[in-house]
Amino acid sequence: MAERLHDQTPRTGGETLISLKGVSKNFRKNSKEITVVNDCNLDIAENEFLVIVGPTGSGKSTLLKLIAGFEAPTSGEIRVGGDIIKRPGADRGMIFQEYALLPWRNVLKNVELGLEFKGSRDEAENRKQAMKYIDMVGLSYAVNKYPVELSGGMKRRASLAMILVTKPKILLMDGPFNALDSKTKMTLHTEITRIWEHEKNTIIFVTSELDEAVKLSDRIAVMNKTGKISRIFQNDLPRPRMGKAALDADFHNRFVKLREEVLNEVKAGAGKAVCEY
Amino acid sequence: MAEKQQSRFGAIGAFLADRSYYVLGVVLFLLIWQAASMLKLFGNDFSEAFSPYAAALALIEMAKSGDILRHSVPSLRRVLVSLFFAILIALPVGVLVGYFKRLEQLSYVVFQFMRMISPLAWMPIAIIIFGVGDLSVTFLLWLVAIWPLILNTAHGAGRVSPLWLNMAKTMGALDAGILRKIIIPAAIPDMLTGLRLAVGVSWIILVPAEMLGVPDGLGYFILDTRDRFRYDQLIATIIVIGVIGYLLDSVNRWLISKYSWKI
Repeated sequence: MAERLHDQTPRTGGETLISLKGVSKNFRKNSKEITVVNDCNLDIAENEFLVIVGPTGSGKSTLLKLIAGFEAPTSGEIRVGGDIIKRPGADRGMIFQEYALLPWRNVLKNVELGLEFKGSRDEAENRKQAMKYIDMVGLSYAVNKYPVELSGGMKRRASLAMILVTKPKILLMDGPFNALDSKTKMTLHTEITRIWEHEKNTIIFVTSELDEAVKLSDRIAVMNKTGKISRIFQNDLPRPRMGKAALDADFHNRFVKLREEVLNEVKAGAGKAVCEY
Repeated sequence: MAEKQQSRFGAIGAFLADRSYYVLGVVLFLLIWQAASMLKLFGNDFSEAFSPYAAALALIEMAKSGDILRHSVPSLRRVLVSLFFAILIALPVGVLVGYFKRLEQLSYVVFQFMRMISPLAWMPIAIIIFGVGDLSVTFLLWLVAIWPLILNTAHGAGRVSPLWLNMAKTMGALDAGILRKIIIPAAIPDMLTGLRLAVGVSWIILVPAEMLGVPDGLGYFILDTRDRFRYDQLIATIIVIGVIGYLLDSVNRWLISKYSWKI
């Protein structure tokens, strides 16, 4: 399915949507100033799928929080569509590592929450919209279930639908598929690619898994131990990248080669940190 | 088929056998009570009047004469009116105090201090302000109900997960929306716990509060039976107080089980 929906136009050279200039973030820890994000410069095009990788503690999640507006940069500026980011906003939907489903609402009501926040009172329309995105993440069989009754993968799907229904231009995903079994993960990779192609969002996706990074990305930014972006890889692998296409020998070789290059870059930047790759 | 029916009967039987222990507890209590009065443990003069049998006769008599209704209704009215006004004040105050850390700090010492003062200590002041009567009693009950409501609501509003708040913000939610859709529903289980405690303590304080110059109510009737040397009616009134209190608490337990969400 994903194959046919795929948008064939190249993504490089699109209009810049998000622009980071000299962005740094310091935290105080035990009365010591530590730099978590260090002078990051990055332009992200509209409808680009950017994946950020790096060793633990390299500031990937913090960078995402800065773009979301949950934290303010210590120096530098982040612009979205030309405007400096000051606070979180509905144009940047963030999907967190932990599930944030409201335990007193069922799946349908959780997904409707974002529409209620937007002040949309047409219940029939809210329901229709919510169902559309619940369908999209493949959860329509569980609309009436409460979060306690959902498995980890189902919670991920529900969280995804909760954010998607608000139609954010930008999706910020902080390790959204961590700790899922590989089958669920594969399904969600297909889903998120399909949604991205269909909804034309711009996605910034943080992960520590390189397979995932190579599978999903247009570009891969590698952050190192000092909080700097050490290198950005262009990922020109043809799409679709899942299913039959992945069996092609040439595709496979290119996939492995790119993953290898990224891995070396990550290792080089990991310093003494435990490298999980 | 027969096997299925038997197993269903077995399940019901097991359920009844399990529940029967509640009934058995009450029966044992009544037997011990009856034995105590027959052994004249309460003294020669009173033992007969204090027996469960005498109390049961007095209950029937009071039900027939209308005494039970005449005194239960004003008592319930006082408790419910004071609860209504306590909820009216306590829920908004609790939510604000729970959500804003500075407000919590500002109010913490005062609230903890006030909550430890028996409302009966305010009785002379209540009488100076509101005079002897209904209003004073209702005020004292209000004063006792408000603290568990405020403190539990604040506790509930204070332990809203920061994840939920962040999620709401990334959806573009405003403060009013966050309050309505996240903080208040998140605090409901604690509000109901507060309500249960408030009802319990109000019902307990009701009896001494109604001894302060009102012409009706269960607390008044306790003194009245004593003055008329009707100790069987005194015991019957105590039973009425206990039964109504138990029922009020049951309503609260039902509310908690119905409206509490689980993680």
